[in-house]
Amino acid sequence: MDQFRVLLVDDEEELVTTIVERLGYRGWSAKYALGGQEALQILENESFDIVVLDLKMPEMSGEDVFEKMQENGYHIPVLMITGHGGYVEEEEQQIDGVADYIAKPINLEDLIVKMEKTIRSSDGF
Amino acid sequence: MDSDDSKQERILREKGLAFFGAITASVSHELNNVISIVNQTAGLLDDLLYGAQNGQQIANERLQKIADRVAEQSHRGVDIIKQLNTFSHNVDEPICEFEVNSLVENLINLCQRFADMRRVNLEKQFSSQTINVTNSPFLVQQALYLNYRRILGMLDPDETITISVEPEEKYVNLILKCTILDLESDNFDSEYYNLLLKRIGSSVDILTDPEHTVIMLAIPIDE
Repeated sequence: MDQFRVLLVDDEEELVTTIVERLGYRGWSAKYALGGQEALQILENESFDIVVLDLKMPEMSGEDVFEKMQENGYHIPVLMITGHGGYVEEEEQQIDGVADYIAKPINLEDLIVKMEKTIRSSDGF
Repeated sequence: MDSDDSKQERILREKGLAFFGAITASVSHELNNVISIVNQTAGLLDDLLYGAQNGQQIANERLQKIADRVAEQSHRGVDIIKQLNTFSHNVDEPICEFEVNSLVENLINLCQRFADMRRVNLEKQFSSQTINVTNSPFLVQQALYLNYRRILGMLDPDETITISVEPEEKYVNLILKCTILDLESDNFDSEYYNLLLKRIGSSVDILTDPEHTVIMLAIPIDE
């Protein structure tokens, strides 16, 4: 099985570190960043198959990070985490170029299915 | 009731609902994070137990840390719910007696997330004395909230808003202090704000010095 590399970006440290650990047990190579600036610094030096961004973060929203990624020429598929317990505001689903969305609280198996589907359907597969 | 009164009631009703919605939406987002952490932590325990069933050892310290995390998030959730419960009861009576420090503290706790999202520091300075007033707690919170969001929208990360409560003889001053020098009014809903001030019998002063702007909302102690 391919080991996919994922970067998870969320300001809730306990949440993102737990998800990273659990993904590790499932064969994923997972890294996290606690905010947009940190994520962009990591992306400068490391490659990933997918980036999972929390939409609502302090200072730089997930949308801001996504825009910067596009400006910087990072052609990595992005999954956006919404925080509305299932209710996804219309504008959140109109971010051009975002591959898919997942709402909190995240079901890990759903996240994995979405990530795998997104990676496999992106260029190169 | 003439049309002006109807319009005023409509504005207060609609804006009040919008305020209530903004607070509850923010709180639901925070609670969602709490539940997400507990959810993933439960999943992590499952993963570790599965590993243990297959011969892997789990250190007691590891389990203790996980238990501590769940306890911490539970407390966080309980605190959030208590604040929301207090807030939601502000609409039980249109006019009632309430303690001002507690009312302001409740609003600040519920609005902390807005400051966090902008990386703005929020400092609180409450009065050491109990200050009871008879007024509309819901409308007083809205007046304070409007000024808070107005300032917050203009501050840069790492700047500070200080909210303090200072009683005088016949008034209690709710004071917001920040480093903005010029308050813009473009997006400020003056009509709604002035209606609120009129309803709660409040006056507002805006004071500036070379480094700060201070908004002072004076709430009458005797209605």
